[in-house]
Amino acid sequence: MTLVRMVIGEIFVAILVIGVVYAAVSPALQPIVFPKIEMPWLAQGNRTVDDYSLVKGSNVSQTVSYVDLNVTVKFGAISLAFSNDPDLAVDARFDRGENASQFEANQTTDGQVLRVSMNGEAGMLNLSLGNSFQYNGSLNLRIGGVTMTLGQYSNISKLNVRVEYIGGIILDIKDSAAFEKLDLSLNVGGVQFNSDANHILKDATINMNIDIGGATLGMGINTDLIGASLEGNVDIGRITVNTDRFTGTTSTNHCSVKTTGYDHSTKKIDVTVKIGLGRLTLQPTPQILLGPYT
Amino acid sequence: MIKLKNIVFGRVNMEKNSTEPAAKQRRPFFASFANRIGSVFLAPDDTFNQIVTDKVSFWEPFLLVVMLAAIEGAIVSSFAYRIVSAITNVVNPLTGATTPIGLTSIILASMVFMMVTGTLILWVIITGIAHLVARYIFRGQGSFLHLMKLYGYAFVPYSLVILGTVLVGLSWTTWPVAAFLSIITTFWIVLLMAVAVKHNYKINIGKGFISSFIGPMLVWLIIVGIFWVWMLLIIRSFTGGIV
Repeated sequence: MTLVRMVIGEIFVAILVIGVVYAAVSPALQPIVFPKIEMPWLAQGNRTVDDYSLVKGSNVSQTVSYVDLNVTVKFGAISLAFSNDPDLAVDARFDRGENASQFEANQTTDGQVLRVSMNGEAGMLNLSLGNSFQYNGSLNLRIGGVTMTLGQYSNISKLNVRVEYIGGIILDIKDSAAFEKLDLSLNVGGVQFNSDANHILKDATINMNIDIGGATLGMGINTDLIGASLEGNVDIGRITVNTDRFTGTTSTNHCSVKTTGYDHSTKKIDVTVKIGLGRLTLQPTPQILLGPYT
Repeated sequence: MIKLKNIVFGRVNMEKNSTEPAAKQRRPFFASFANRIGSVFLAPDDTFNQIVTDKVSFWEPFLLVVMLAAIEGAIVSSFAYRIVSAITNVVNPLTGATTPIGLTSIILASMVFMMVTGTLILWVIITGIAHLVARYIFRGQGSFLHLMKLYGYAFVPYSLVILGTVLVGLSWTTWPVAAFLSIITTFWIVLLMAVAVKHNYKINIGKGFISSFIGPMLVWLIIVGIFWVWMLLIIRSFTGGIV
């Protein structure tokens, strides 16, 4: 009987020793390996860039004056900017993973209108537009971010920007920007609108529609030359107006404010923001943006 | 002849009696320890009685409890380390982040420390409750410190949980074995605790069971009940009395 007790006692000690040894060696000998997540729109693995360029005199008729863009990207980012190139209609560079689907683009010409359709699965699309065409159309993204910089070479008649599911939109209005109407909508995410423009070339309207998320307007414009108004509605959430250059009525869920010299301004920007659940903030200075899209 | 026989046997017995303690003293510590642990498994009644009588040092059960908790904590920490490593191996290339090794080590060491500390606190609490019930409700006679010693030995079947954890670590498919070992261990520890209370306070096994199991369970239920009433009051304060 004593022997049996001894053996059981020794088994007990053996179990403790096994426990100690196992705890010490298992991380090295038995590592857990999860399958690697591939996100083709991120800079992983081998990258490739699809180029698509439409240039007047080369593959665009000389009669074309208007460009109608229809851009769709599922995952990733769209960056839109204008360049000082009178012949350039569209220059698209789609940066994608080697294994991701190829970028598709086609164009048709209808009199003075060049219709361009672009379709990308996952990647980062850099769109560069010229300064001698007037642009219309839509940018559609399922998940990701859209960045637009409208400066002295811009000329937009009407542009719809939609983020279908989740993401963000950054809109930067610079000096001498020319655009008439921008419709920005997104389901979940945020819109950042910045402007430190001294003057703009056309009266402009910006509509923002956000289901869940926030909008921050950094209005550092020259209010002597540009009149700005904001109509804001937040169903559940809060509106904050942090500037004394705008006057009007403000409550928790609604605001209707204008710059003091709005009525006498030569050019105007009218902004309408509708948020379901979230927050709207109006501030006197543009927000400093950090990150890959600045 | 009979007298002579008695004298002879008496001498023999005397010799036995005189040599046995000497043999006990000569027995190496490990053999004595292994024998005691084996006896807790096979004959807890006699063993606990012996421990109470022999006045075994408090350090042995204390180190036993600390070792059991530390080893289980170390195995669980190694699991945590493996899972965290697997996650960071996937996520870090995407985010560009690096996992500080020092921080990981501190977290894992903290897990072992918390496991040991928690077990020691639990040891004191359940001994305290059993002591209060056995001493003041059932009018038993016994010391708190002796019961702590016996309870320390009562944790010995916890080694089966360690074995189960190692098995699960080796292969997830052994989880039914680990679950079975855990259930066995729970019943075994409860039984050993009841026997410990019985011997320490010289009360019957039924009262020992009530002191060692029902008492702590009642206290636990009261604490959980208070917690949920408190939670309910917090929720009601948020919902304006709707809930």
